[in-house]
Amino acid sequence: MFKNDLKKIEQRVLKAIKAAKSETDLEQVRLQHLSRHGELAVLLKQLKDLPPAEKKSAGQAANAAKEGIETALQQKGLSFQMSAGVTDGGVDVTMPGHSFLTGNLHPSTIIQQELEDICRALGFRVLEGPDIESEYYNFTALNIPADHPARDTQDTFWLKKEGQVLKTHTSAMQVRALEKYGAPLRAVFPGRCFRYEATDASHDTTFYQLEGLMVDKNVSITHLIGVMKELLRAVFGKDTKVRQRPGFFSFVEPGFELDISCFICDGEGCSVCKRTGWVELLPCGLVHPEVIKAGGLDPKVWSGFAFGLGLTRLVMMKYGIDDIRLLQGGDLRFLKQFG
Amino acid sequence: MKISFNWLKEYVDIPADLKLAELGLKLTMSTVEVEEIISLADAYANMVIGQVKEIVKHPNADKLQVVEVAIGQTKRVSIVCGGTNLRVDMMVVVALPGARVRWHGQGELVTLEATTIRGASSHGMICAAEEVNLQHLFPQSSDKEIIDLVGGNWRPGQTVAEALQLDDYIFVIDNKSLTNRPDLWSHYGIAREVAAILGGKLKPLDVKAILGGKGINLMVKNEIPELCPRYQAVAMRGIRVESSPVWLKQRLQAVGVRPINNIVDITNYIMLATGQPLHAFSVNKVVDNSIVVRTAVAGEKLKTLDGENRILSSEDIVIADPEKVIALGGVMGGANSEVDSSTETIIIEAANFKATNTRRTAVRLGLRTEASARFEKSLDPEMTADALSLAVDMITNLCADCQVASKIIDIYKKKAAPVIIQVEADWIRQRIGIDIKDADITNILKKLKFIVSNKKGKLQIDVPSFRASKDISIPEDIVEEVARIYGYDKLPYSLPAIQIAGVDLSREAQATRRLRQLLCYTLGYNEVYNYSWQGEEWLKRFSLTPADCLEIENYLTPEQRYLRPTLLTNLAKNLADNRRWYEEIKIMELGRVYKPKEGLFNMGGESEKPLPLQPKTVAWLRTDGTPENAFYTVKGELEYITRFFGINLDWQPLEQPWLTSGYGAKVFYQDDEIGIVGVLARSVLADVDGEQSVGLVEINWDKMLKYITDKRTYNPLPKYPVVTKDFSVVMNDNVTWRQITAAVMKLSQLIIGIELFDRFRQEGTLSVAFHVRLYDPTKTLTSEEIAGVTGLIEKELKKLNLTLK
Repeated sequence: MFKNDLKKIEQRVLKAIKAAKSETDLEQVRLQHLSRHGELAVLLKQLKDLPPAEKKSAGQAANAAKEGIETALQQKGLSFQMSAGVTDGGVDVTMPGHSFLTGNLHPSTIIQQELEDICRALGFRVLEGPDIESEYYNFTALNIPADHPARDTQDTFWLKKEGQVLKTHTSAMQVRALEKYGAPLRAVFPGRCFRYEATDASHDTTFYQLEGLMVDKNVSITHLIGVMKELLRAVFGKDTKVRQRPGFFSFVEPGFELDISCFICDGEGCSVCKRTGWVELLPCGLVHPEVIKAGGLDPKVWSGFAFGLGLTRLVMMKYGIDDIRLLQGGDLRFLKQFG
Repeated sequence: MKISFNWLKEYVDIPADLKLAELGLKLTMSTVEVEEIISLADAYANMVIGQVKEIVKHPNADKLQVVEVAIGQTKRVSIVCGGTNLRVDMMVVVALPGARVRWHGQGELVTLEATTIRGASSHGMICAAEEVNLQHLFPQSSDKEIIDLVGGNWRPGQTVAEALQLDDYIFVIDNKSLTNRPDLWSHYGIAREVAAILGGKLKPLDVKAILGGKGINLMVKNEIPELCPRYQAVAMRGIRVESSPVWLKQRLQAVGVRPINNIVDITNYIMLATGQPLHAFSVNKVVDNSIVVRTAVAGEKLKTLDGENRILSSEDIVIADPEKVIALGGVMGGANSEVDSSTETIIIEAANFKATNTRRTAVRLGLRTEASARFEKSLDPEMTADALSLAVDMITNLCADCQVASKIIDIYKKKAAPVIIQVEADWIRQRIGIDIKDADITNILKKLKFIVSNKKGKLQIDVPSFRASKDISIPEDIVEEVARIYGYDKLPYSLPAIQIAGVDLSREAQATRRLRQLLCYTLGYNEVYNYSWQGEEWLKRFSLTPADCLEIENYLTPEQRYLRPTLLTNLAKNLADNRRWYEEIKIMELGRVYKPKEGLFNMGGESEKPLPLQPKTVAWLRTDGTPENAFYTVKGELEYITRFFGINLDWQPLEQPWLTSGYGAKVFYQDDEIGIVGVLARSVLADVDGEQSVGLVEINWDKMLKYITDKRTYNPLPKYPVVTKDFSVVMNDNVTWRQITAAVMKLSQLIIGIELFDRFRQEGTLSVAFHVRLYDPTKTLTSEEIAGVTGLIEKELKKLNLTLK
């Protein structure tokens, strides 16, 4: 009995909703059927008098009917609004979205993390050294003789306390790493480096390097070239033509300067590469036996290679930054460009 | 260093069809970096020899003439010229339109055009020496004096480059690529490499034995054989000091050495040819013909040839006579023994000086010379004999009446032992990574003048003395020699086969990366990098003094003197600097700070010595409304980050002159103080506009890394309703939030959490509102149970003297 009445009311109301021709009509329907004194409300009052056996299913049916009616009302109302264009003409999709204050990493961090990921994938562990380094690890352990010009106060920041420097290269970690981990070892050392030098657009007292070191049995020059090619392919996202020519660094023998085909002119020759088609990218070489020895290993058994990537240089190359001082300058107009 | 191609060709055959650029590339790839190859002739393009045919006074100018010049068998041009020494038939240098000249020898080079001067047309210029950079060949006495090509066998129309032998190419070599190769600082040294690379024949130097002479009793005493391993000298008389012949001046000029007089020019020429610096003393200025090689007495003085008065130190090697210092050994001669036009007798010195002392002297006095540049690379003492013989021979040839006037002095007690290297060919192959034949290895070494014997793959290699003085001493050096001449560009590449190593993900590195991500990409901070130092003014603003800082011994600017003991000084400056561009600023930095305390950087090495404490530190700074807002915002950010890393922090009030009073806290992990959080005092940025408060955090990241945990576990979702009751109380000064929460949590096991949701001030008193969440994991709570707990809470709050609202 209850359910039948419910059904009838429901159908009547839905029909009336369908027939409504305006929002005013619709409001009429709502008032007539759904107000507190409307017929649906009157019917629902009977619910509590039903026998317990029917009560539950009747209640459920009543709720379902009520929901159905409300949905129909809403949809009909919406259709009036849409056709009348009263409230909403949609959006101008070309207008910008809301802006909010965003943060971002420093460009050197971005490139350093990229390089670390590549090096990890090649099986190199990532280690970081101190900024204030002992003369021993920065120079002596790297086979840099006591009277070498690099030790001059003209190239190196010395601390007031004797025997301590602001590290001039990330190579200072080579012997520390060998002492700690022994061999075989594959590791890279990113870090902040310092040079005592007047600053200009291409020189700064502070810059970043990423040093790499592999020590194993029977490491050869051809291995060095192979690993460098893979590394650079990952860095530049394409095969990169490289060449190596003699270069001298106390802690490698033989030592190389590794050049890459100029990325501006593709090796044709331009002002960036001084018309040679090549850009000097990184010094590298086979680890000098004195360095292996300083690391506590026997150079007759162990050999290796090392390379020094100029992280800051890479950052400048990648983003076309023409003044190195911007990187340490803290100017948000510059830094926010990397967000 | 500059190398003349024509000069090089005197020592080595270079195939005529080899392009210069290719020779340059081969040198770059195997030996030294050739930066540039300059054509000398290019500077003399559009310049020809002319012969004056007719001189007519300029109709409209008193001091000018209109000159007809033959510039070919029949070709003539008309040129307006102001030269005072013009005469008919005179041979002159004519710059035609397109030539680049220096107007009256001054200013920049300009390109000539045909023009009309006061009504007379002029097709070029008849040149004075300074206008075309030929004053070294044709000294000019006035700026109206035209080059007078007397006595040459020249014809009109001939290019100037050809006529004056300017058709040379100069290889400009990067000196940095030569630092370890003392043998390469000369034309003969480079020729030796070229011969090895191209496989061409190296011609021997034309060294003639010299015999001693009579007349001068030259005496040399070497007091410092360890600093001067060899000293050779000889006297010559009958010298006539004059200008060098054109070819010699041209040679020197081409490689950038200024011609002076025949004697000095010859010593320079021999140095550029062989790499051995020489020096000539004027004998009449050397007391008793007696020379002492010694170190200077500190404070001794010498006026060097450049006219500067030098005060010497006890490290300087000097050449002296019994009365005075006459030269800085290996660096520069003294003015008091200079060869000049009155000199008739000279002493030629060919000596070897130790690298370290010559370098230190040159650096200390700011006096880098061609000689010191070579000595500081460790020259081979064997070189002096040839150089001396060549110089004596050349002087004899150029000065007709000149002869050797003393015995030939040679003090050479400390002869270095020959360097012999034993190495297996197999090992060389393995190190390079290629299969190169024994014969190819020995051939390469022989071309480089090594003496090699091969016994079944075991090589014994005698290193020539000019390579043994510095760069060749171990088997690895031999690997380089073989590989670079074989050709680095011919080497294949291969990837090493490696053992898989133990996994070392470095949790520290991962956490550090995460920290940056959270701050920058989640909380919206811009990462900055600052220098590792700051100006004293910024130290002061943070109540720091130089005593709180490590000090740099040699700083370039005052800002570099004190290393940063905190990241906040520079971050505050960043904020000040950026204020004119941005109203709202959020910046962070992660880097080391430096403390005048001992801290191990413990990598476990045996030669480990303590270094200063230099913990990696993170700090962030932001602008934010009121001090209270600023404080609770940065504190909230720090809590978010530490929650992420599973760390529970503790807080204690902190007062600092540079923090807003009442808005600072020390941050602890258990008993370990790891940082601070607070609001910057207005006074710190008093000179900066802006109403907003500045919240800041600085954390010793190295310490915090130790406390990171990863113990996050899952909490089952509630099966029964969680009941939330709200409370609002007026706070008082004697109770902290921590006391309230601790007291409330203890009241019942049904209380599972307390959350602050509002904090407001009314007439100076602080009120807080918070939720207390109640839950029983076994059933739905009854209203009686809820009321019971609520009553307990209210009672407890009253016990704490808090007024319930």
